[in-house]
Amino acid sequence: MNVLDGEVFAVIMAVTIVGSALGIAQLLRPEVSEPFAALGLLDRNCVIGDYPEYVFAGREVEFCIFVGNRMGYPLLARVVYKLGTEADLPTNTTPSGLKPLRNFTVLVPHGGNETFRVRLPIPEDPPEADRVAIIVELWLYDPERGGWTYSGRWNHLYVRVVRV
Amino acid sequence: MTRHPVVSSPRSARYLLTTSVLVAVLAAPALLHVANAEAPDPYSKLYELYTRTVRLASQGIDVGGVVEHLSKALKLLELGRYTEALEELGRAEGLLSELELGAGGTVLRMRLARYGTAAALASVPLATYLLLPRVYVYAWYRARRRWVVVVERTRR
Repeated sequence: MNVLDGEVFAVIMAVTIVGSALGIAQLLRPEVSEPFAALGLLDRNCVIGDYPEYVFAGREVEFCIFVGNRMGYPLLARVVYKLGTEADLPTNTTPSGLKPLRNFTVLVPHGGNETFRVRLPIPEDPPEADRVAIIVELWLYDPERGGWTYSGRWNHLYVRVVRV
Repeated sequence: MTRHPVVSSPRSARYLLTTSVLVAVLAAPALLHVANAEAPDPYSKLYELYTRTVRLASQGIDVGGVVEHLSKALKLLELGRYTEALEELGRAEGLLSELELGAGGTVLRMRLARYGTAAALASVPLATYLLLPRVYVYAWYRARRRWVVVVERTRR
């Protein structure tokens, strides 16, 4: 006498095998499949939106900076501030050739993020252009090389400088 | 009457003073170097500890406590409070050394737990295939144990 129906047993076995395979895949997959670090330039209220259109030469302007970490390990990050024109913007592979005006270093744990207020100085003699670019670049400390490396991430904001 | 050598003459005093100053000037860099070697550069220390922390984190060890100390030290360094930063770095180093000492055992335990769970999950279909029919039959018969089998005799 066949108590357990063959087809019912086959369905139960199929569900069990699929469930087991999914469980193992979930368990053995790498924790971070696509590592990345994020950089954000936020306004003075630490949100996206109310950015200044004009800044004053010789004064400071307030922003917030966001650094996110999904690299799989704690991140020692340095945000480098530069002021230039459209021609001075960095690329995904090379940083801007301008001299850093200020930098900020933070340590962000894996899966975490850090938002902090910064005051960026606008020099007395800003670049001669209709609009200048506030550039922030993300540099990461490379523990293997023992030095700072450009991450390829940057933000910029065009502003008009009022000379006083 | 014997005369003592002229050691206290102005010329001699000038000579002594010049020699002392010269020796001090020449020795100063060496003395400063020794002093610098004794007081570590806080940023170099931070980078060194960070490198060790990343090494541990890449093995899957929880370095949350160390990161907290290092982050605090970094903020103090940015504010120019070097003495407090060095104290915080010292605390981070202590915790890091503890973690490094037990790293081998921790990694082994984590791997055993991970692959043990994977093996248990892999054995679920096999266990189901072997045990389910038996358990089902056992339960089926147990549920009907009070049943009475009646053989009906049919008339021919």
